[in-house]
Amino acid sequence: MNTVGTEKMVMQSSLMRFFSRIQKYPAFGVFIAFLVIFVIFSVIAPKFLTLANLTGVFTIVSELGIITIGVTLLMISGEFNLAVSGIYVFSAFLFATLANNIYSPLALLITLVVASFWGYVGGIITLRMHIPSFITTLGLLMFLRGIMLAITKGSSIDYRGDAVVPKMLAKFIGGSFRPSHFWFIALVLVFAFILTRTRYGNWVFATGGAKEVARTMGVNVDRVKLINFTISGVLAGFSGCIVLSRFGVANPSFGFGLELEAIAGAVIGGTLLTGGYGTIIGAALGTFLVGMLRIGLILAGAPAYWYQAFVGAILIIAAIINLKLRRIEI
Amino acid sequence: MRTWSRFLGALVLAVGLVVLVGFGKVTPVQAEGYTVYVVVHGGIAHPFWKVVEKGAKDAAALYPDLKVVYSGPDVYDFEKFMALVEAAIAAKPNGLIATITSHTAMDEPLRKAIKSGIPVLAINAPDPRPAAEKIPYLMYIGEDPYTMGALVGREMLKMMKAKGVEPKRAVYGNHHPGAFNIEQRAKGFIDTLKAANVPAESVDVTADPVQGSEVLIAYLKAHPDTNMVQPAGTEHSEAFVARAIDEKYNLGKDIFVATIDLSPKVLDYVKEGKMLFTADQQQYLQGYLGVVNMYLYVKYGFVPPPLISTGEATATADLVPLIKDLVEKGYK
Repeated sequence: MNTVGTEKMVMQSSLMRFFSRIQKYPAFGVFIAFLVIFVIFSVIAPKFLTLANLTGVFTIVSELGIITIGVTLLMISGEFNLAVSGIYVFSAFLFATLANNIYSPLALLITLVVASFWGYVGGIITLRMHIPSFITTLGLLMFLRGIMLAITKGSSIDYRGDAVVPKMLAKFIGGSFRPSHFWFIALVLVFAFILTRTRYGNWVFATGGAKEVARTMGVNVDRVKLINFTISGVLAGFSGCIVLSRFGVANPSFGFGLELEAIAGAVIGGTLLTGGYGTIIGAALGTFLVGMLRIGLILAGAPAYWYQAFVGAILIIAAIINLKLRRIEI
Repeated sequence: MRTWSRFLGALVLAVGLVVLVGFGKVTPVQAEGYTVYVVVHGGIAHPFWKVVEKGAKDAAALYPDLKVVYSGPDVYDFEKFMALVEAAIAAKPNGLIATITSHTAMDEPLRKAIKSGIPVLAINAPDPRPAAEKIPYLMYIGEDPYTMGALVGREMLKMMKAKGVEPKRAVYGNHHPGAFNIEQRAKGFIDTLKAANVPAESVDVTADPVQGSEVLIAYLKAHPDTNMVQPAGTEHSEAFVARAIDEKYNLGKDIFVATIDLSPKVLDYVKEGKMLFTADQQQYLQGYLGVVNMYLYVKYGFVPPPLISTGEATATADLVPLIKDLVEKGYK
């Protein structure tokens, strides 16, 4: 027997088994899409692969990604929360207003409680009134942005509180790294664990995938959804506090359009719009993809007014790569 | 039986009254008056448009027989703005004051309104076409956006040269790509700089000041010779300056920033030297003089002049204390 030929066959077979194993992992598709676009930007954009830029991108991704975690969890359980950007900017203002007068960690706690309340409100109206969450939370988004504008009359707010929470959330800690990067990683790991290793995670998938079957099996479907609505509110509020801590100022236009970017990150990461399927790791990678696109295009020198078109096209291509890779049979 | 017939009679009377009032045959006593709609592209909750609104309402308060309805989308959205313009026209007011945000899209509905007897007055954004082609509104009150952009470019060059700094490259942040007046401002700015041999371009900074600041920082990294930045309006400027300081850019020494329009925060930045100046189009006058001229026209037939330029003032550090007081009172 030809030893070289046999060895080659064994190696090929191992590689294919390895590829088959990782290809079955849900976030595989978005990981490849992310890698492809990352490599392209690294080649065509001279300053893309620098520590300063990558940590800058990570900062944007962390703030968006924290929101995306909550949105993904809720989408897997079969609902949407478009009000996240409204909760985000509301929380930025509330945190600044409170922290300008009281100890900032207490201000943060109160803000997160209020943020959770808004998430809860979106959920309770959706579930009790049987209105599609898309509609309820769209209304809540408009309501929150509206009252923000009415109260602030469009004026911005400065942060004049103590430095405790800003240092904890957003100020540089060494090199170009910020605490928000680590908050994001920690939250991804925690929620990935909850989703994949706990009974609650099973309930989330069951609620989104087969609601009536889940109910029959004793899962309190409404409670699961309500908890996820509340979590999405808290995480959006947390991100708003991070942004306020980073800029030291907030105005009512902050976060305009963020809700769609969060959903885009989740969907590119493999979460189904219909619910029942998705991963937190995939959503995190999807967020990385969304977060680095605009900056990568600027650094690559793309014509300025083509950004939106490029971002849209790349998002579609990334979603296609993701979907095709998931369907490849090995 | 008598109770029932009394009840029936009262019911018939009530229904009759409602029908007659509804068709206007019997009308409750009403004061004679004029209604003028002011529709702006906004967002109307933005501090800039709050000042226009104050001007309009202050003028309306001068005339007891005048009602002013001020409207616009909460945040800039051209489709919503057009819907509000159409709604204002359908309300058949005595006069319509509007920003001509897109002369192409607004040509047909405004011409129809004017033909049906509703006079139109333009504020803030004009129809830039020659007289024979433009929408036949009564007059235009406001800035010329191209001139405003050119003013910012010119003053930045002048102030940087006075400080002994050579302008190397400029970026103009556009937060409303496609909006004619913003595009014209960008063109005025870029043309002025190119005429002075300074490379300049416009970037889309989106409607979100957080994203916008990241876009501008990325631009500065991609083009490190850039030392002139116009971040696009007060909200984007506020976020950009905070972000740039975080990135350890030396504002006022290595990078020079100026913008258009006023806010307390931007004025603080000008006072602190982080921004060179901000240009003031005195938009209070757009609301105020718009309403006054429309009222005088509809009531007395006074034909206004074709143009009132509300001026291109600049708020520099020395003027900040005075202007801040006026900003806080809503006049600027």
